Amino acid sequence: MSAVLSLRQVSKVYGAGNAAVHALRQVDLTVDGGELVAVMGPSGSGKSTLLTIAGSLEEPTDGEVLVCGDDVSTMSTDAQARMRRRAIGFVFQDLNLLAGLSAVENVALPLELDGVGARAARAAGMRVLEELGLAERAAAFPDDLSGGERQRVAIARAVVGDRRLLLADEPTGALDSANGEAVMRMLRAACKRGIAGVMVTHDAQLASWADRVVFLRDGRIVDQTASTGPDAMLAGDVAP
Amino acid sequence: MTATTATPPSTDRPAPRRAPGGGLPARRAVIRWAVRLFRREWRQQVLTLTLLTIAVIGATFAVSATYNMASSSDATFGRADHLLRLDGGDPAVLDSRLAAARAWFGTIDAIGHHYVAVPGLFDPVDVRAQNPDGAYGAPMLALRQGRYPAGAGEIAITDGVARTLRTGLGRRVSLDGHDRLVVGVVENPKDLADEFALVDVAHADPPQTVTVLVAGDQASLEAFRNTIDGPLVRESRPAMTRTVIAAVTLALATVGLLLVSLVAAAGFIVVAQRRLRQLGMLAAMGATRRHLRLVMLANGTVVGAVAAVLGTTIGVAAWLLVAERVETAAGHRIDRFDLPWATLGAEMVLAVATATAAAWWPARAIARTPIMRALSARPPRPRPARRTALAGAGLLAAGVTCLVLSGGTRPLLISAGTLSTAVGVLCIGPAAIRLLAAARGRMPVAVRLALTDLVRYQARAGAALAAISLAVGISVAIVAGSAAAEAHTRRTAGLGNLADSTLLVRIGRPNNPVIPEHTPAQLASLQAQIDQIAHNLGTPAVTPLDMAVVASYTDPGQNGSSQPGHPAVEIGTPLADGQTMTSYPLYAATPELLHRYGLDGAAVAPDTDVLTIHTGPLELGNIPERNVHPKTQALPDTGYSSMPNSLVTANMMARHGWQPARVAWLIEADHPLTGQELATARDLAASAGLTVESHREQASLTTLRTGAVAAGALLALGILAMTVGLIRGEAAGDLRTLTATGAPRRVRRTLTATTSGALALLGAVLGLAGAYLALVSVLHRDLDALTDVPVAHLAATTVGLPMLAAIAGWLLAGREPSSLSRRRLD
Repeated sequence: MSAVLSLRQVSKVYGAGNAAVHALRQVDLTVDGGELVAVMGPSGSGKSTLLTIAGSLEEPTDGEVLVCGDDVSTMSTDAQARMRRRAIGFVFQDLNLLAGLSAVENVALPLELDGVGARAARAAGMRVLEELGLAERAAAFPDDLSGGERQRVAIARAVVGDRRLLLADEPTGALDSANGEAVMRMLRAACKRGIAGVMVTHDAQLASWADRVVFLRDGRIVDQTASTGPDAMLAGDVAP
Repeated sequence: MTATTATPPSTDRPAPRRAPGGGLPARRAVIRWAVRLFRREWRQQVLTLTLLTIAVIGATFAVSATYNMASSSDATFGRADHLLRLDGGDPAVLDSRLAAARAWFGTIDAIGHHYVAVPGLFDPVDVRAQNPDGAYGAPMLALRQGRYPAGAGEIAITDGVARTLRTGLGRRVSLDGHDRLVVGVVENPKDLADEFALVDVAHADPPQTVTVLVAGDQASLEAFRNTIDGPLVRESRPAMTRTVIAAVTLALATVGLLLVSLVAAAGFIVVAQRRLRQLGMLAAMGATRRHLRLVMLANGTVVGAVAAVLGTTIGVAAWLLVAERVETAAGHRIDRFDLPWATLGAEMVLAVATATAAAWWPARAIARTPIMRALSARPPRPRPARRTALAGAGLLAAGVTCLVLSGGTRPLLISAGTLSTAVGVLCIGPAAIRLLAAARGRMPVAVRLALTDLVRYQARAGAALAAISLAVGISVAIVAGSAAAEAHTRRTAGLGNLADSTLLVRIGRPNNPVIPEHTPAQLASLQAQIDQIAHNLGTPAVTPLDMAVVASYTDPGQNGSSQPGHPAVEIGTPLADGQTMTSYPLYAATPELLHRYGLDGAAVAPDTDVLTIHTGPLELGNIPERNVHPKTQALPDTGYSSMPNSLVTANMMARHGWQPARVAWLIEADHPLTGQELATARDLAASAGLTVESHREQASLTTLRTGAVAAGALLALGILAMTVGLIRGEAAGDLRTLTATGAPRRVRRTLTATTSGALALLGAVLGLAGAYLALVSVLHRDLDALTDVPVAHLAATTVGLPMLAAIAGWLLAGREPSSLSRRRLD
């Protein structure tokens, strides 16, 4: 698989002078298609900053961010927005869905923003929801969905279309263990389809679903380990 | 649950060809979301919606009312462009002129008038011969009951004539020796005061005068006039049609709508802040800045559209309800559905446009907020206030310049100046907030925190302050402006129209430029009635008032509805257009009248033409000659507006061959007249067809001022309610910390009270300053008008409003906000 995400010598500094905070220091990270990478580290280590820079939600102070080979950090804001619509999907801990839109409309929204007609976008969204077992909840609004269902709809929205990169920030943080595992199965399955995934988590057990675990401390990658967990977990010994 | 095993995305598949910004589908999706959000959260925008709706209701009603209430020139012209008044004294001349008019204009519509004197009545009855289906006169005639007369022995009459002659439908009436059956009740629907009797054209007596309605341009009319020997009385339909009046009303309403939209902008900023996280999420999904702006703009458009539809519907419904009831006041029939629909449509479009424009600034600000800042619901960093303040100062300077240059008479400059000044004051708001916060040094901790939060949440606080300043500014402008207008009226009208011991008894209607002819017997009869009136008032001084008339000119009668007479010579100030002038009554300087002013004949210079209180270029009107500028001499000013203030000398009258014609009597008692005395005088005058003018109390605008203060305060409190809760909700973290450290409930109350009180105080001060700045600029040539300061009303605004806001904040902050324990997600 080719690299979907490449961070090269990426640094991020908030503030200036004495108040400067180095959130990331010369981070190098490559994630291939089909690979799920978990990012762990203590609070303030730069995990979320790494994710937002990878997703072009923030600009790095220094370094390069390549998504599907394109340098995101040199793109215009509109081009970055187009990149997010077409290649990057986000899953946040909470507030993932837009109130006022049904589940399927939420899923279809990135496609519509990219110029796909409403009917075609909704059909594509419906297909993803069916694949994720949420077809019956397609017409429900976020207020009527449970926390687990909301996260699953968020994942559906993050993978709809030809997404290459899925970025998840504590995706199970607000869920109970059963729903958390269900969400992890979905992330894993999405990566199996060729999507590169990066997930920030505090939970070591959830990190074991990843192919690789990256440890951050004070803005630097201090360790990377290959996980042996996912295949064993997907073998069926852990109840969904 | 099923793990999916779908086909992996092909990485080398070319990207589909779509519009870079998502094109129409993206815009449609964004607008759909915005509309859904509005449906979910319309209650949060109810104040903005209400304000816009009220503005649209006001505009709709005002446009509908002015369009229908404006006296229509159709009352005189029907469908014609011009009218000619022909004398019927010589039937041969009349016929030749009618033939000439028909040959010149093609279609004409002739209406014959025969004035019939009725014993016991001062005014004759106008017996009219008019074709109900006339080409141009049809709109001037309508059948209320019965049918039109169709024979020599039939007649139709108006309600007024029926009352005067004490007759009615189905009864017989005798006029000028003809006994006729009343077969119908008619009216001029465009002028209900037009009283007449209608006879069959084929069986009418020879007319004394004929009104000829014609169509064509002004040049054609003047060319026709040149073909006629001798004078030809002609009038053209005034250019100021009711459609134009409605359009002017709409233009004025637009200024109001724009001011309201500034308040609406504050409301939209609050909405934008509430949606910050959701908009951040949308941006994270790949929405461009244009998409983000579109969300807010669509919201503004939806609010504007709802307000436009609601406001127009309610405004039209209100008009339909009251339309019939105002017919009497309007003086003409009103077709309640005859509305300027195109103007109303333009007003709806305008309402949507202004609401959309009001959402532009918040939309722009929100689209520029960094995505992570939006996702964490942190408001944008406060911008340095200095730049905005500088822009505000520039706008204030521009506004003041426009207002000064307007001289209070140029609507375009006044509108531009008002808007520029208003926006300038609003721009100074953030600097004012910082200035107030800078003074927090030694204040209690809760007050310090509240003032700090105003700076931290400057966007919201600034928007609220802008809206409050505007509400207070409009209120203060009304309060101070009405006080200035009262002062101006007192000074220009002096002591009012007349002293409370004086009566002005006029023959006929006031301001009628045609003086009816009276026989010596008629004048003697009127004089006897005046003597009777004077007798009832003790021993008053009675001064007859004459006007100068051009005896060689005979006017057949205004609108053909009153008796013929001679035009009175007028004096006036020519206006800029060179065609019209502001005219004043010109009385004959009789020895009795001069004596009334303490003058005698010797005091008047031999070459003086006119004695007057007026200054500047003066010109005489209603005379055969043009550009006659009289030599004037100052007349002592009585201070009363209805007293004779311009007198033409006997020399001038003799030189031009003008004749004096009796028009009124000035009766001055030695005591203030009682209500009973006035009533008796009016009854006596009415029985002789005279009209009485007496001292009028000058209307007070106190109620208007009180209403303006109340409305401004209510609006300001509504804005505060909308904003303060939001600011305090954002600062819930501080409150949580304070509570954890043992701060009592009083601290929470103080925080809210200070926030709302401070915003109200700043709004009151800025609004007051802005309003007075604008007024001083407009009235810079007449600053004396502003010396009467309505202290009570202004104190209620500047002191009462902040106190009320602080007290309300204190009382309402007792309950623990939900945000203390649970953060709002959106």
